[in-house]
Amino acid sequence: MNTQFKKGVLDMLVLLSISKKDKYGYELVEEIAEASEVKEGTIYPLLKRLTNEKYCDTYFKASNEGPARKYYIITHLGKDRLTKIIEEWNQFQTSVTKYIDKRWNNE
Amino acid sequence: MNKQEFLKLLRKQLNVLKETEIDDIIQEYSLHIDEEIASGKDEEVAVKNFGDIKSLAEEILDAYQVKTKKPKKIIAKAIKMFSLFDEELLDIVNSLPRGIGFSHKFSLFTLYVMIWGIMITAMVFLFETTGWILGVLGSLGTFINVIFILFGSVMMVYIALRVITHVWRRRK
Repeated sequence: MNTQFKKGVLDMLVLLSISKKDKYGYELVEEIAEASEVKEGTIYPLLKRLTNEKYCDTYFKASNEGPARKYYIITHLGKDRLTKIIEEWNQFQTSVTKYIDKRWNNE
Repeated sequence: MNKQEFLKLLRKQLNVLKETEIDDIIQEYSLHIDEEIASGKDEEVAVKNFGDIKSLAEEILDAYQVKTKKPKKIIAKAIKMFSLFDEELLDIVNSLPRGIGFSHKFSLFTLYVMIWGIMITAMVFLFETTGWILGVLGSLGTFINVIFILFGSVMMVYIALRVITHVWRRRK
């Protein structure tokens, strides 16, 4: 798949995943890896970029089960971005579906 | 490969980034492996899941929009500078009043080639002088000299192509 396009979609998934509840890195990465079939290792750079772009922020919290965890929290800027990406995604998806329907059924 | 070895190798691959950024990234991967181990996975397997370190590092650098090959950037910048100069020159030449004697197209063409000719001569002269000075340094000087001569030749070919494609097309 086109990498630029994929990046946009992955941004959306990450921001969506933390939009309602903060998540720690490992949890978030596992979830996104499963949803998008992208390797775990390649999602951390994405988190880093989103943090650097101020779409999310991080904090540390101790955990009972193992090492301290780094949590990701969405920022206002991130929420605005998410709304925009979802809008774009829906628009794109609708027009592609329309096109498929037209070609698939009429030819 | 165990966790420490993996992190050490990864750190090495990322050395173009700022130290604080590298620490941040290394910490994430370290935490990830710790979580995998805590959930019962083998350390070696957890490391292996990340795949090839080189492509992982490339992916990370890509997220930072770091171009790993620096020389490419310099060449691209130089080309941009020259084409900007070229555009400017073409604009100036094209905005001049109509030529006397020869046809307008011909005088424009002459002027364009002349200015570029002077530019290239000046550059080659500059390079040659530098090359000569560096020549004192021996083979390094010769190497740089050859590079400059190659550059001059490439510029000649480039400008010839520009003349053929641009000036003649623009001024019918």
